Amino acid sequence: METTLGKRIAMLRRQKELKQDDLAQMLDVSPQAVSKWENDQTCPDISLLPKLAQILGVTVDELLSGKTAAMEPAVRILPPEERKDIKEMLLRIVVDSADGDKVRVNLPLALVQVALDTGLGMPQLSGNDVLKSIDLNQIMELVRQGAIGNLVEVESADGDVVRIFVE
Amino acid sequence: MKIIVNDKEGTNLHLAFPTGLILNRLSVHFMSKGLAKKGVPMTRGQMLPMIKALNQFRRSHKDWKLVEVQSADGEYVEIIL
Repeated sequence: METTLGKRIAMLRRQKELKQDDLAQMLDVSPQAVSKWENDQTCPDISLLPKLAQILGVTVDELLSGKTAAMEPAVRILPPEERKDIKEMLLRIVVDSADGDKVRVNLPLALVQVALDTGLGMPQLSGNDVLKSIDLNQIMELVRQGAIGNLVEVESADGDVVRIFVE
Repeated sequence: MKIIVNDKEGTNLHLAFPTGLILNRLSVHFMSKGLAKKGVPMTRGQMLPMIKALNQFRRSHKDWKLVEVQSADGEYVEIIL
């Protein structure tokens, strides 16, 4: 559903449990100005956008476009005409360990396919126990059927979080 | 290929290698032997097609950030194709 900038400001403000007066005070504008923004009668001045976005906990882009990670579905199935060639796609592995280590691996999907074709899988490619349990063949099958987005999200008992995105 | 290592004591290491020097048949031979010693069952025959695919990808995606690791105590490693 399409939302307007005003509706997004109102929604994000309520999520932050702020009143219009609070937001107005933080931005040094009148409460009436905030009310007009939220009712789509006027738009905030461009110079206020960075601070407004910061207060609402989003980026300026997210505030203007309304496309935030939280609003977008985690996984989408693309119709055949919108699907990209596997050679142009990317497998992004994100590991956030419980002790604060962060690992980001950006692999071309074509490379993953070659690895699978030669009989390699996660058990050989990764030392992480959670990653070892992930079947890349299943992921490739999902991708062939048009799935993109956050295809895998696993949290292990010791707090490691592994996410696999296909883009 | 670039490898960037920043450790918590402030040492910054920026290494740039010709990718062909690292991703070639000879290095694959030594890598597979080394991996076998570490108990990683990855043969030369399995690695070569991957190296080829990686080289093809590199031509169309210059300066691709392949790996980024940030440890909790502030160490940072980045591998750029």
